[in-house]
Amino acid sequence: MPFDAELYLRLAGERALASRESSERMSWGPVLTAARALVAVGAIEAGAAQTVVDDYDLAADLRGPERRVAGMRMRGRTRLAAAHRAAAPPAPLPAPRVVACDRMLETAAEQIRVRSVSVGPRSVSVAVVVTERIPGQSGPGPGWQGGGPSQIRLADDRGTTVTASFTGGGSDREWRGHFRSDAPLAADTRWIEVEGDRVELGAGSSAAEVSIVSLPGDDPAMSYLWRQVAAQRQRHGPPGMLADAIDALAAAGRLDPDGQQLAGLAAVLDALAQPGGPGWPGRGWFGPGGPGPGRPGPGRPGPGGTVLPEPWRSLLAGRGRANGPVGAVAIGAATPSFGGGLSVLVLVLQSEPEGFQVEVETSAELGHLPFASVVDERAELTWWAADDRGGHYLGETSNWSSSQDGYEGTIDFWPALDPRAAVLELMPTAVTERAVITVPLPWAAGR
Amino acid sequence: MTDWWAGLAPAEARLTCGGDQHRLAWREGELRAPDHADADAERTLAALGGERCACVEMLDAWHAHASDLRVLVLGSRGPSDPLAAPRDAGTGVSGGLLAGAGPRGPVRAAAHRTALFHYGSAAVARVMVSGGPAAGVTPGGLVPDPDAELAGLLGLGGGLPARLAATVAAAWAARLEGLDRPDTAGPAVARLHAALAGRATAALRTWLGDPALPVDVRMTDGSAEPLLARVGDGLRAELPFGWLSRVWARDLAVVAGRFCLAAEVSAGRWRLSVLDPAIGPPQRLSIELAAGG
Repeated sequence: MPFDAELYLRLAGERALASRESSERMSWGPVLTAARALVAVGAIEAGAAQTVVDDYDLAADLRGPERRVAGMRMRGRTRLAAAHRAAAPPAPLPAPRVVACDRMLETAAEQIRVRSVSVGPRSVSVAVVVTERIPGQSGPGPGWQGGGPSQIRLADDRGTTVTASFTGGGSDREWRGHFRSDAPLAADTRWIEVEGDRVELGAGSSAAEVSIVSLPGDDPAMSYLWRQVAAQRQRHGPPGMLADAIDALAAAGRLDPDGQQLAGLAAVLDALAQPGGPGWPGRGWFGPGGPGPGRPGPGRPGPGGTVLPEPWRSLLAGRGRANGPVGAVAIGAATPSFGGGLSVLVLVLQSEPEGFQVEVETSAELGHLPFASVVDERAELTWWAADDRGGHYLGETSNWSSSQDGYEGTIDFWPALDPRAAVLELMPTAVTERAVITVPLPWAAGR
Repeated sequence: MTDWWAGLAPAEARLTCGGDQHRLAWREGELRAPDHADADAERTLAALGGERCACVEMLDAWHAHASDLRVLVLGSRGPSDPLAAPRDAGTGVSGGLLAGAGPRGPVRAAAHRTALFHYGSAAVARVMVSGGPAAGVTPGGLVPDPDAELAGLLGLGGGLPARLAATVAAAWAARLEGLDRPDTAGPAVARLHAALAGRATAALRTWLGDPALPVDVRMTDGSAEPLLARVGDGLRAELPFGWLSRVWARDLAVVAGRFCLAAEVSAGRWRLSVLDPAIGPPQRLSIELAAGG
């Protein structure tokens, strides 16, 4: 009997309901995980798979009253996002003028560390770290009333003033994010004032180059699983998540569950979970017993000390590095549309001893954000980077939010940047293509 | 030919309509709003901008979903799979995100499982509930959700959701009887199969008292005798989709400690093909269902 992917997913949904996994939302549950894998290998159309996921998401909500509102909202959001993408593929983002800086400003209620300024055709965005100024007080102070920073005023050298609202996240006392205006300032302004304090803008963006590279058409099933490993930290997936995907791919005849390739995957997961690594869940993602019969395979660090596959080997070689260079690079580079129609705007890179961050915007919502039950990977990116010394880095989204112009947030990369690197390639990677933004690192020029 | 509703007891729920408590009553395969003498007139008034009538909207929603397989996807698989009671109106979300049909009171009583199987008298479940059909409008700025109407139907009490599931199961069983093979039912096959598998599995696990029992349910075309067999540490069942309508929907899946594979009715007597927990050869069991039910 030929494999029926929809029946496979629906029976997975029935098992999940019967086991009362439904008491929690099925975000990253077995139905969604299997659906994504089967869509990735072409065993079912994304729309049909999404229907099944939404059906069992709602079935779960109807059994857990505390989840009903959130679940319904998310399904509607999923539908709206899909409808939006189908109706009008997002236009590439216009490149703004971006200036990196490191300026500390003080207001009555807070300290604002300005990390970069992005002057675009429709708005101004100021990347900041905001600290509440309430000496000796540990909780939220009266200045924020527990809600974090709200609005600031920005002005340009022509006397134009706009109001900018904060989006971002943080703790009681420190928030990271952006103040974004809903109106532009002069694109060639020499400075902007933040709450009356002047920030000289000086030189603009770096000489970043952008290209689009097609990815090799490897085994779709293994490619899918490797993408899940690369994206695992930003997925917040439950243990056993890969096991559900592997089961589905095996049932569809697209993967040998006892194959040696899975042993390599397990070796990488094991290595990522080691102390000093990024703190990922390791082989627990395979579920009990790990992949296949648990025999050693190529790339699995066993008694013989086998070698991990690239880019994972060089990624893990940076484990424990804590001497990354300190500095910021204004990038201001926009990619054309790639992959599933996304474009990415890379604003500024901020390097610190323990890691580095890149401020980005995307033209459409990313499908893999936590709790978005989206089966179609075309709206997803994994965030790789590589330096000119052969080192690799892997990023995860944080502080993600939407604005009138698109979606923005921070990509936190691990491990720390190699201090000897002179060039960094940032590589937002879709299923079939990746953008490569080549960024010269200015601190290397003086060596 | 036996009416599909034979053996199903009447059911009734209440909902707030125009500030009053009204009844929705199901009997012999039809849902009615006995507190509204002229439902068509109510619809016309609402279309002209008059007050929306929750009872009539619920009737319309019922008919719209009378053959909707999503009823079986979302609805209860059996007593072991209760749906949550609709939320209290005080949250601003009544009837399970069901705003749009006027004010509603809180849930007066939890929905009870209706005892459809009786050896003596007919049963009518009377449960006071809040809720009403949804118009796809959600409160509090939420994104409108097209599932709200169906969720509202499934949030009714008084056994009405079970009657809706029985209605859908009967509609599809009748459709499949007109086909040579159930696998020619097109895109519905997976949903039919899953609906059968989920409910048969729930019934088998409840029957044997093992909530983790591995069960493999195959949907057959009905030409072969239904089958239940032990396979390894689990069970394999081969059942037609019609089992849902003829057995499960009538609450006959487990009768007198036996699992029912098939049911036929003749002159008011139901002849069941049943298995005891040792899963030996099928046995015959005859029962009578109550009048009106």
